[in-house]
Amino acid sequence: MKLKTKPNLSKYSLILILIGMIAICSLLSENFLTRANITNIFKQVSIVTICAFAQGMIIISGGIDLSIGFLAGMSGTFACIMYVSTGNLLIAFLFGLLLGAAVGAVNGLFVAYFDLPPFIVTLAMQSVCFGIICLYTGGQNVYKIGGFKVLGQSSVAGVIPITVVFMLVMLLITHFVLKYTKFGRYLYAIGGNPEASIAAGIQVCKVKWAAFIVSGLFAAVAGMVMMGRLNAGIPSEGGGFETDAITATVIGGTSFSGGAGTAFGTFLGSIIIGVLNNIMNLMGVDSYLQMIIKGFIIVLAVLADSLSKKQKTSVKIMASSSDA
Amino acid sequence: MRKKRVLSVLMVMVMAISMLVGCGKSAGGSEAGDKKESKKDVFKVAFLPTDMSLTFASWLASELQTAFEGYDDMELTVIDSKNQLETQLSSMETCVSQGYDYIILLPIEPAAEDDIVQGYVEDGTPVMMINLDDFGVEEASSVIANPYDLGTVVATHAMTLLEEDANVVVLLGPSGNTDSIERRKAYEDIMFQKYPNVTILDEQLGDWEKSKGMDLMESWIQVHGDKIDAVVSMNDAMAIGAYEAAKDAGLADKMMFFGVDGLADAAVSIEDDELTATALQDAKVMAEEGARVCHEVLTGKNEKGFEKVQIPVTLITKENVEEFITRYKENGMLTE
Amino acid sequence: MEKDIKLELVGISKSFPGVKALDGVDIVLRKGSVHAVVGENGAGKSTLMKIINGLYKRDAGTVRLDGKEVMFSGPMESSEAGIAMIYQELNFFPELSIAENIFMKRQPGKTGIVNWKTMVEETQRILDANELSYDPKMKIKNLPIASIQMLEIVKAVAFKAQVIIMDEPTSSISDKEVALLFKTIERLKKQGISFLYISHKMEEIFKIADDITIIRDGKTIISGAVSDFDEDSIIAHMVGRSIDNIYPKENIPIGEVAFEAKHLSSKGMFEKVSFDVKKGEIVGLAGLVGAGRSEVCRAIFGLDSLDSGEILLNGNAYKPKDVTHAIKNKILMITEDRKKEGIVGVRSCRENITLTSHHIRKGILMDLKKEIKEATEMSKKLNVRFAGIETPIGSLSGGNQQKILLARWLMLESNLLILDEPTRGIDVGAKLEIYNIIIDLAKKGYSILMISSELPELLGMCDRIYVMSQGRVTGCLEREEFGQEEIMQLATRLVK
Repeated sequence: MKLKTKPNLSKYSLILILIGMIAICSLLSENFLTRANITNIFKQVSIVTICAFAQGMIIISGGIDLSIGFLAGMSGTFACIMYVSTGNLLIAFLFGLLLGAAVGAVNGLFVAYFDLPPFIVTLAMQSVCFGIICLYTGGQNVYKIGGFKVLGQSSVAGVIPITVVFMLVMLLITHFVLKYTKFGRYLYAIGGNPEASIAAGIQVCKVKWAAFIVSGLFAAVAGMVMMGRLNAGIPSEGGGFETDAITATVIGGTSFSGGAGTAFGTFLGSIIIGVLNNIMNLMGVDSYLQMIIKGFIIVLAVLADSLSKKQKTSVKIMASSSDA
Repeated sequence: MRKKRVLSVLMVMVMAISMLVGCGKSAGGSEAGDKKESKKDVFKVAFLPTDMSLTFASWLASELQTAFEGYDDMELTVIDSKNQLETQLSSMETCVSQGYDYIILLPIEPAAEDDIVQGYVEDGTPVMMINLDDFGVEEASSVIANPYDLGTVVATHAMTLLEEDANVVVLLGPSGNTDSIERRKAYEDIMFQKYPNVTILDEQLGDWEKSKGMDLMESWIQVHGDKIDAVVSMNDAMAIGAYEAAKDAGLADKMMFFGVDGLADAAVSIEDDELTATALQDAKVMAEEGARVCHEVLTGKNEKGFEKVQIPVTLITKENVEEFITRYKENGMLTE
Repeated sequence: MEKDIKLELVGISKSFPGVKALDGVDIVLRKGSVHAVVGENGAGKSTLMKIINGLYKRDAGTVRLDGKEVMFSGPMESSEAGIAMIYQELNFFPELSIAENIFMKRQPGKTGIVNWKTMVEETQRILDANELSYDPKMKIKNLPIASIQMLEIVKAVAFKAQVIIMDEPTSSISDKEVALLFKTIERLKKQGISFLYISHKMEEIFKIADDITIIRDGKTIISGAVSDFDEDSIIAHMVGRSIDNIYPKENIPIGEVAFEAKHLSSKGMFEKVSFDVKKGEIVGLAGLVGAGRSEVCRAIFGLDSLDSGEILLNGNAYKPKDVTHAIKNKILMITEDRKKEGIVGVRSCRENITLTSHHIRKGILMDLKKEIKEATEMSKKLNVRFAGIETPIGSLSGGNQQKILLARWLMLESNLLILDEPTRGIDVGAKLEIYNIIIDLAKKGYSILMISSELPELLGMCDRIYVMSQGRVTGCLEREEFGQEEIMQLATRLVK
């Protein structure tokens, strides 16, 4: 039996917006639709997108993680240091992941088990992460990271940049986690209705905790890829990623009130921002004008989100009246 | 409820401690100073840097500490402003109310801090503006490397290498940043006014960030390709970022990359034939001069109560980079 | 006699979409008297009060205050006319002082600046006049509930209220405080103030009320002096309807004891509650609102804490820990508040059904095909009406939402299925379907514990009914002993 499923409008509307943008951009600049430029767009969004996947999962569960950017900076730089001193990429990578998970675990501990607001906890953790790495390096950046740059500057099969590969792998992981695992289901449920989730036997604290650990792991991956791409360990470079990540997830249809959102939506949201940035740079749009345009696009995206929600409520009223 | 409250307190404490430790390490000299505190005739000096997580600020702080160790009758405390003007202003207030004898200010926004510094100077607390030009506080000391001079040095050197009809792209610092504005002004005068055939292909804010420099350069290569002869960047990080992008596109050898700052990353980059040239504001010289002026003012040797010192800026190119590499290795800014 | 009438309600009617809440209610409130209004849950008492103070507009009927017909546009207008309402949920600002609370929206002082001195002095005078020894500057949150309630009354009187409506005023205060409250009411009565007193506690009514009106199904059944009634006659009037035979009850062979609770206690909630449920049996828990029925069940399910007591599950000891633990032990519960603690509104019906089904998986991933198949089958079995299994559950009607929640638990095995108000807010057709599902489950050997505030529902569906009052089990009725009056008697019994 084939099921009638309602088409996910917001997902398709994002694709339509993207196609429209691409069409307009290719008219605006002949350099836009070249293979190299498309590669550039993907390369440029890849790191923020990895952060956005993490942010997306946390927002779906009804939280927020502001520590992502600085956590990326910290674990990425520490991984560089580890690589410089051991020369072993695997050890350095695992070390970075460990740090990310550890900071995520601390975030999650305070949010889930002590019921503190995630906004405050992760904001505080921003400062802790940045402080720790600066304390260790004395405010100096790490240079001559040698082979570590493989994580950000190599390419697979000579065409696909490694950063893009990382992004796509994280996309698939996020997609599978959200769609095909119990954990993913729990994230949606907790974000949608935390009390109902408790009453359905979900161990809300554990799930929230785990979500922050996952977020920390993702941030660490993003941080290490970023340092590879920069060919240096620069702790401050991650700052601000958290807000870019929030923007991408929200444009991608993730509901700020929790319970809704997909990995592909976030991905598309990120690409939309990337295309926007790219075309403005290709056309040499003034930096200040770029800020204004970007701001308006974000407001428009959120507006679209709230309008689609209103549409849903009207559906609800119709459904209940037809039933009565 | 109570658990929650206790916990928030604990968290704040942990954070506070981590910050204190952070200051403590970079302010190693102040611990040595504490022991001497029993002596009455020790002058208390506060150094208010912009942001200790910035390479230059932390370098300057450690050079200042080294310089102050040479004086028995002065002790230095470092109070970070974390790049918040508000924090820097309130730290200044605290320093005055706690009876510091001298304030060394690495200003975040000199134009905004002028009047306040003027007030302190008039009320009897001497203030020194370090690194950045003071905008009219006559009675305040200043030990500065003019950001305009930094731009001038690199721009002049660049024009010895570039054709008179070269095409360049320009990377700027954050909007409104004094350093970026002054350096850009120097380029305007030395390069773009004097050589009207030099074309600016594009000019964008790169916010001092390496990744932004990289992103912008990637787009520029799409549009302009190998037409770009040089990247003119207001700091080194963005210039090096642009280099990475050009290298990736296989165009790095055809282009030149000019930065400003001359810190460890730039030195390494020049040594590896990546960056073409940069200019250094030497924190060591600056710190030594600063400590000297400070001491002279406090001991009354300087009767005017202030002194204005200009630190010469240094051009770093492949020729002299070895000297700086050695220096950075010695002071720990560069590890093997 | 005529001039003694303070407030008169004649033929008040009010309909909400699909429900006739009030259908010709008459009440006559004499000056300086306490008039009790009693009725079952949902008889229309609260609606009536909201019509008097103008929160709702009446569809028909007349309200006369001092012989003049009035129609208030809202609580502000009615309070200006001298009618004050003391809500069950008290309206106060915990972080503000007594003085500020009393003068809320009436702060003395012109030009928008509060004259603190006058305010505090006036408050002191009001407190003194009512023998309340509090500092006007004290924060409200530091007072016990009963005192706040007293302040509400005092405040109303201070601002010239002539009629005070009280909705279950003793539901959350201690006996000592009740005595104090009654003293205050007696005193104010002598000053000519009239009270409309909503309650279902018989002892209180006989102690404080002068007159009584009993309403049922939105109609005034009988009105008169309290002295003309006794407890039994009041209850008979309250419930006096025949049980509609819409319940599909069948005789199902009852098996062994599946669940046994012994002396369950939770401080301030319930005490020494014991009962058992057998296989294939539907056991009801009756009682008035606040009797502790939901609390006992929530504690068994691990949602609330349980201080002491013993539970045997098929003869084995079971100790509630959390919901996960309860589900592992096959104790399942549908909570009272479907929206708050049941559905995840923004997610699809499929996900809501399979939220706790751990068996649908392939390795570490979920088996989506199997999930769709099982969820579809289950919702078909329960006759859920929706556009498709991917429809967000929040867009369904209450009855269909409840079926989805039932489907969620039917995906699992069960030793005990607790249903807390399973048909609340559901239209009649869907109710019948839910009853059928419950009966079917019992046939399959499910042990079912059902809480309902609708007595006919319990009488029609259950094999046995335990009745609770004030946190204790006051009795257990077998099917042959069933009767609304019997239950009401047990439910209103005062436990000492």
